[in-house]
Amino acid sequence: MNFNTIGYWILESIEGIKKNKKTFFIGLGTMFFMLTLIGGLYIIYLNANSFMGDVSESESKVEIFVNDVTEDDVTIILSKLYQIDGISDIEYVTAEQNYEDAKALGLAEAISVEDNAFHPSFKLTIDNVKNGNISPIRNAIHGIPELYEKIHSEKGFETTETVIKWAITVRVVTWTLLIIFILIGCFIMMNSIKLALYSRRKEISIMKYVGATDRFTKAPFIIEGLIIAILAACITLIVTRLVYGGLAEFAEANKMFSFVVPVNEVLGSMSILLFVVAVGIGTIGSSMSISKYLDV
Amino acid sequence: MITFENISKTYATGIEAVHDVSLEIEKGDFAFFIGPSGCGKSTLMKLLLKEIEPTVGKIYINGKDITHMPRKNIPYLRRSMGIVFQDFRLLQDKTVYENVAFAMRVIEANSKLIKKQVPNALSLVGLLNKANMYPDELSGGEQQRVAVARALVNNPMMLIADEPTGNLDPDTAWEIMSLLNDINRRGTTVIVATHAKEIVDKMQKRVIEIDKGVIHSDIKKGVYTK
Ligand SMILES: Nc1ncnc2c1ncn2[C@@H]1O[C@H](COP(=O)(O)OP(=O)(O)O)[C@@H](O)[C@H]1O
Ligand SMILES: [Mg+2]
Repeated sequence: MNFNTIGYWILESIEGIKKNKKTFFIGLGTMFFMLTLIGGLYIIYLNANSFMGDVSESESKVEIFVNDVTEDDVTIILSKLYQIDGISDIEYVTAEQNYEDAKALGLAEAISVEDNAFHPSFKLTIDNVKNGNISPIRNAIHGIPELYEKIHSEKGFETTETVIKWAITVRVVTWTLLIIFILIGCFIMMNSIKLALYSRRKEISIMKYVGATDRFTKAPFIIEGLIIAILAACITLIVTRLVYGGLAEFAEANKMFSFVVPVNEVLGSMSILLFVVAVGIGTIGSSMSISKYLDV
Repeated sequence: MITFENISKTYATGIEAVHDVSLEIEKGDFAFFIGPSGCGKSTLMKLLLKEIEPTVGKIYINGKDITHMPRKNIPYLRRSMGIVFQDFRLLQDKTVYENVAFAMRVIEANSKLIKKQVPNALSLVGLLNKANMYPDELSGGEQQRVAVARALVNNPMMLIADEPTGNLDPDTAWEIMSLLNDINRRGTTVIVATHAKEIVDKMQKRVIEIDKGVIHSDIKKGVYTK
């Protein structure tokens, strides 16, 4: 392969596009539509995460407040907690310390409402909560009789569980839709390239007879697929900048929906996502079309 | 140079197009494949071009067994063969020059060589003065000459022509056949499938007559018998 060859391929793909403007624009339009769906999905995903707050999906801090425990109890409880898999950090906090901490935070009212601050507690860091680890660990903790009978209250389990559940749901839905959209994108690309192949079948047949390699014959069509996909990705990003940018700025100016992710934060990662997806769809879609319809 | 050894070809439809054909074509030969439509001429050519594989038998080119050559090597084999079809198969939106250059471009020849070889090939077929015209501005005979120039531009060892004069009037047909004869004199092996009885008789070349997929006769300086 040399510079001439690559130049030739690019010229050929542009020739091909010129010869079939209509097919090209239909391909570009539908690909733009697909990428907009993917981009929109991504924006919803980012905003959903932002809405759910900064709950880390990999670890979670929970706290168990207990009624009066002796030093022996604490030693036993700690040793049993250490035996539970998935708890990475354990800390025993005395009632005095909790009271001081609460006071330092200026939670005088809170103390009067919630009497947690008068109790000693165990602060635990739980690993891998996104794998749905939290319930079994909670059960394991409750399985320590010395602890269970002394529990005054618990903090962190429910919120973590809810947020994790939502995060998992959002992730599953996002990925499912993303895969569906990518498959549809590949299908659209296959059809665009199929039409391009059809309109140039005579050329292809001549190339085959004069001894062009498969690689050489296929390349212009893959390039054409890539041109369509990358152009569509660029248009999608511009439209996102304009439309979502406008909405996000409006929300910010009017102090609405504080969780809305600013457009510049979205565009960075979204351009990477869209280009990767576009290049993937362009290459895979056109290759599938070629192997299906081009009998070189 | 070309050896067919007990070649049979049965298509997926169950039709046996060629049955137990053995033949040898030497370097520099000029050979006609003749016989009625459907007798298997094109099938023999497609076997040689590796467009299809024989069901039985072996094919050798220059002593090398190409019967089941890997697909990725086929393009390189085809570069040693120039091919001409009945329907010319020129690209209508390219000039005469571009049509011939196309055959070099797509095998990644360098542009210097293209600039040198294309005019050579065009002058060989007598069309250098029409290099910038488009196929639809040419007569049928001229279009076929362009196709011949395209087949020759990469200096193949052999030229394979499947009914090259089928779409031409007798005079033009004769001109094309004379051109193929000139090319053969310059050392290229030429294989022609044809119906053109008068031409075959006049040319006094080797005639391989095929009937229902079998070689009926193979005569050094033959004539069309049927
Ligand atoms: N691709 C194909 N599939 C099935 N049958 C074919 C195919 N090509 C040719 N045939 C059959 O094989 C026989 C020989 O065809 P062909 O080689 O084209 O003959 P010719 O070129 O002498 O006219 C015919 O009966 C034809 O119908
Ligand atoms: Mg035929």
